[in-house]
Amino acid sequence: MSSSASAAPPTSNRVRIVVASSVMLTFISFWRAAAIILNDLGSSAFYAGGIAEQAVGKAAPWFVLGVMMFAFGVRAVYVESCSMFVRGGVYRVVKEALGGTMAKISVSALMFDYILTGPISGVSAGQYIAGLINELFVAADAHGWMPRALHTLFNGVPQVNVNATAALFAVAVTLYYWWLNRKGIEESSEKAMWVMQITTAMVVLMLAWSGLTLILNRGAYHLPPLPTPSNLHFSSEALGFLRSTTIPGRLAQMFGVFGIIMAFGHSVLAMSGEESLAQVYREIKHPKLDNLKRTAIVIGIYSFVFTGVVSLLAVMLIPDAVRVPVYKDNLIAGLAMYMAGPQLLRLIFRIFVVVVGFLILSGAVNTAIVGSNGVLNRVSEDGVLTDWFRHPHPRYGTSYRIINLIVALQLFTILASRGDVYVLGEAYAFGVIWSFVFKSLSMLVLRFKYKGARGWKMPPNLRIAGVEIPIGLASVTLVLLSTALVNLMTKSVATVSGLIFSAVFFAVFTVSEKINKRKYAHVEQQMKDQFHLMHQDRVDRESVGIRPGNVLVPIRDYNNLGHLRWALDRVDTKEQDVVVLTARITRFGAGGYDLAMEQIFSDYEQTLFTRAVAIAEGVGRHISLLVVPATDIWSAIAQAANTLESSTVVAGLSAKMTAPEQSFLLGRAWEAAPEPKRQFLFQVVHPDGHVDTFTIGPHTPHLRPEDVHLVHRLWLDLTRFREFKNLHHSDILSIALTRFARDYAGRDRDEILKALRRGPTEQRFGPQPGGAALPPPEAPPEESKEPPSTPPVTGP
Amino acid sequence: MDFLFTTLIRVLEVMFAAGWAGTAIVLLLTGIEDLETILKHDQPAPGMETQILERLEK
Repeated sequence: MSSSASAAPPTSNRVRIVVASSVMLTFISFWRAAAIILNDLGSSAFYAGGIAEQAVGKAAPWFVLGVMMFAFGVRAVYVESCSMFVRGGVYRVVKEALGGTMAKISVSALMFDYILTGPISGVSAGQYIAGLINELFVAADAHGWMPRALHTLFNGVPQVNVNATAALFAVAVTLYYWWLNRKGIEESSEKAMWVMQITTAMVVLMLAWSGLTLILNRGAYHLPPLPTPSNLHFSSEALGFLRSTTIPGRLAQMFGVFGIIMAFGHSVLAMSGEESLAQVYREIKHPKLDNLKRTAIVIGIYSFVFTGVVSLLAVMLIPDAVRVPVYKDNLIAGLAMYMAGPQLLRLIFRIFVVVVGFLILSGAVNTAIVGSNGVLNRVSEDGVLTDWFRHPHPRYGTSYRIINLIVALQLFTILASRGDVYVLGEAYAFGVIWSFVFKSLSMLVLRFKYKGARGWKMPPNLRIAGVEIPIGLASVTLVLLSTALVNLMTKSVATVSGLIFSAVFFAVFTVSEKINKRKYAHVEQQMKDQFHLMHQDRVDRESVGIRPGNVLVPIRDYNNLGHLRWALDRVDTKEQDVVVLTARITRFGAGGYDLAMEQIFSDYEQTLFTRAVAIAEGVGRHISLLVVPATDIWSAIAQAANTLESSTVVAGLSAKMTAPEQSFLLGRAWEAAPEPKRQFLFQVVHPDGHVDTFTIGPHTPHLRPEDVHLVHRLWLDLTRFREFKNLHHSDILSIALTRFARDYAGRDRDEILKALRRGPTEQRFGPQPGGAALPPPEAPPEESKEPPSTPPVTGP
Repeated sequence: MDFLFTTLIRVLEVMFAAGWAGTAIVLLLTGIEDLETILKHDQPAPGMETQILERLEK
């Protein structure tokens, strides 16, 4: 793996660049990984059941449960692919197995899936909110709280147009996340955990309350009709292209297994979001494969209960007369309204459901933008999309052109759907099923194409005459492929929109690739003339060829390199090395693709380093260049500073945060970095040349003169006693801190927190320099000696 | 045309049924394996034991 592309020997006039291929990651537990995936996967619970019932009738929950059961098999495909490729997203696996053209087709289908996740989630959240508003209007009217004027104006109880409100809400949420993503928001697994904790509370409450309702009204509720062909009642839309053929008359007879495939295909969108499993794998901590399996188990059971069982309960508890006509697009809210208990309590629970729905669904809108951005960034790096798309925002450094394109497509989709979740759901299934088909088919091909070791193989595998037959993998592929092909016939909206969308994206990818090939031939030659790429698996001081105590300068935007010039003006590179680092961010949702060296060191990095080298040459200094892939810029800097044994990190002031905020994030990343760790200085250079300096890692705090004075006065007072003649200043601090820790752990905690919240020391404890808090020194006891006038030198 | 269409549908039905039969075995086998994974205790990461011992010695 190491030095595959370092074939060109270094020449004296070329600048050596170390390109690391191992991503500098912050590893997460399988619980956090599951929370990230469930934020996407769990959101489908809010609309999948309703969409399936509209298409296939009352037996729909059985098919949703079947899909959730089948999802365990799909997850097994992902586990096997992750055991082969650490970054095994659809694009990477399909490219490896079926080649570039099929990879482009599969990524087009995946883009359709990703882009539609936003509109369907936003519109669904809007449907829940609009439904609640109407329900509250009805409740208020029933209690006579509705003003007569409103009543007259609306000719009855005021009601908002559900689809229009939903579309408006989806547009607003999409624009909000567009604004945040353009600025480059931080993603956190903590937020995902928090959302899932609230969602779990709702699910547990819902299951318990539903169970109680079923017990209290024993005999009043029945299971939905069994999923047999005679119980399938397809809507006209659910027949797709078949409704305009001569077949419909005979469909009833053909309903056998074919009808079941149709129904299964109409429920398949319930398992959207599985691709996230491949993307979080890189970030899962040791033991990776076992933790990936645990993640798969957690999400499997959770989504089975949430999406599957809740859909079943909805059909059992909500009366037929209102379930589809009123609650088809906000089924879980309807379930809340048909629990046993007082109406007020049910209404409060419905509000809770809507709040949870808003959190998880609007989060999915963001995931859709982040995911689409990540996938397009990766294909752009692979030369499949021109660099124009990846051009960074002049201020925020984000790939804003890609974000603009994604959001424009999403807004168009929302407006075209007019807030109809069913239409969106029909189309959405196209991307979901076809990306799975490509994935499993590729894994099947790789079983024969790639004979090397795998971390795990999907069972069962039969060996006949020395040939291994992957029965499990082939079975899952057969189900997916047959369902996808039937969907082509029965989901006309999905087929037409999916094919048009995929064809357009495929055309853009193909044309871009041709343009890039021509361009790269020139750029590659230029790069070879100027730079010598050294491919290293991991970053260390020896591979970069630098001494300990070096200065690390992270750079990102070639228009903002003032801090590099500042560092080079002050560092004598004969004494201290300067390492210029750029991190290629591969965010969660980026598709989890392996990065070839050419991808990591792309056109953009070349321009960036050319400018960095020009600055270094301008001041006559030598610099070492380093490129690392990373999921988080702060983790990359902290880990690089540790492994390179840097003494100082010099960064420019961020456009998005203040210097202390930058320092806080770097400090947090340092805390999360693996051992061994070392302290370093972090200097933030402002555009006006002003510099803020922070120490990263545990260090002696900067004591204010008045604090030093207070310690000294205490020491003077104490050393009047003979027994304390050897007392050091540090002893006083040590006792003070021990007492502080004891008080903080004990009953004075609130008092301490209150004091800290009050602000600076002067406000908390009153003026210090005069030592008002300390009694004036008394005359020394007779036996004591005069203390020395200067404090003894103490250890840290 | 009808014949072709009917044949296609029959082929898809066979694919789907056969696929589900195999998937049922997959679910059974992976279910057992999942149970083992849940009950399994993690071993420390390679090198971690040494680090812990060194730290304790210090």
